[in-house]
Amino acid sequence: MIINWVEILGVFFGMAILSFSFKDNPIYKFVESLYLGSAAGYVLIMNLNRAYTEGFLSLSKDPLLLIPILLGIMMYARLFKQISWVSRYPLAFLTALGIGVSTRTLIETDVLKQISSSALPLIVFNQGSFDIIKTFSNLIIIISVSTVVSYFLYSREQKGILKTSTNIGLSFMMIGFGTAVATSLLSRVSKTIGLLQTLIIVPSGIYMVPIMIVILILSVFPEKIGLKKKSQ
Amino acid sequence: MDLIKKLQNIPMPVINLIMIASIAIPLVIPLGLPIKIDPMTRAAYNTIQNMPEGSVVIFDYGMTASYIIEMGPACNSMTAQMFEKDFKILFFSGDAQGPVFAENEISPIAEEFKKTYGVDWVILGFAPGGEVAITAILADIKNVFSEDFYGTPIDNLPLMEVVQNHEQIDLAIYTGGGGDRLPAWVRQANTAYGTTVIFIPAGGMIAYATPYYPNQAAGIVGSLRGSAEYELLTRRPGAAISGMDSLSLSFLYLMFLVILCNISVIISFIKGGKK
Repeated sequence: MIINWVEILGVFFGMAILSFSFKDNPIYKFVESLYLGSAAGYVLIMNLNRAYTEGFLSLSKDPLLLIPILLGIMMYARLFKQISWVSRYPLAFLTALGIGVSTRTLIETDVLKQISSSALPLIVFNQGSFDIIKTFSNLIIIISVSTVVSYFLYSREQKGILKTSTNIGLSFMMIGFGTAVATSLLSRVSKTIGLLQTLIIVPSGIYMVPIMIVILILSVFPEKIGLKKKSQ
Repeated sequence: MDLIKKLQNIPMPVINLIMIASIAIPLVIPLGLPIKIDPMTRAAYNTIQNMPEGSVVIFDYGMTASYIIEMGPACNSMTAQMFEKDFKILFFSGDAQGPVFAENEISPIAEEFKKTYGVDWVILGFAPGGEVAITAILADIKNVFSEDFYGTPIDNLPLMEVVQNHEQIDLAIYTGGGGDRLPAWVRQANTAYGTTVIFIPAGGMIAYATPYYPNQAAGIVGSLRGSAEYELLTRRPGAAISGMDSLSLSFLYLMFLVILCNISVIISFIKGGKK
């Protein structure tokens, strides 16, 4: 059988990350640092390459590119305390540009179209018959939108009908936040599924058990192996 | 009372170990639980299916090492569906890792459908700058990319002679976990130019993408669940479908934990314990 070292390394790194589930340990920290370091290095090179190819190399074709290049260089002034104020100018330029670009369609996208999307019929008929599911769904959307909006009415004291409305709105918001948390969990679980799939499916998965035992011993007893100094 | 105390003090490694087991066991012994297709996923599928052959797509491939497991299967199935319909696809990414993953994942699919690089599909590369970059690409692609991911001058790619800006683009697809890129695509592609937009968001981003469906985003294929549904729709079973049993079982376990926590807190509260 041919030993695939890339797969074995993959199994080792995967198990090392999972070992955090039992205890924070030096092996996990090593693998985490390795990932962060390699990812940061890669992003740095990609950015430099982009600046070189699309900036410096294209300068002869378009001399106006000198302006963004200079603004980019000015950003690095923040590394030097005496001239760090220089970096505020490109930052101000970038902020203004970002706001300007997003604002041109912001009202239409996030206000007008959202309002028109929530203006729904209260009674829905589907092919001549009453559609109870769609009617109920529309009702929920209309009530939730109006009560959540009422929660943000700060110009009036929240009492009476407004108080009831804001409480209902708050409940809808909590349901929304709960949904966001659940979908975040979906994301986390999906990643673990993928990792375990890789560990089980790869031919070198047969190395998983011995690697797991080694990592477990290293992670649970780091002091005894000399990976961590004994606490006084 | 002892039982409540015990429940409240279950060691974290035990909770994690059961979680890992609930994921690993169905991978080895599949349970065959049914998969119901979400209307948002079906809408994404139907949108592509109803588009004319040869349509041009810009695919913002914001894939990273942590997202490839989650959204990779959906992107692959969708790409296969589009190649089957002779779509022309332009891949680029606002994330530095994206182009590498596009190369790894899309090349085999392109080979399967006998698609030629530069004619049927291209990887434009990495474009930092967030919403400003999206705006610039839709206005003039050649202004943002002078060469593709492999260093080939963009003028030497036959596909790029035809596609220059938003006027030739029929569909924009965004995949990734960037919360700021979802509204950016709606604002810059859909609202500004009326381009159809489809999202393949990470799990945490589904809640932020949903308000744009169906009027501003034609479909949403969310996370691993959406990936499995899309594999089912395109009849390309893969990693996502095989992971669905694990997903269901682990979420049953999570629900059990949430209920258990709440019961123990309510009982201790009733019995006069601290909140």
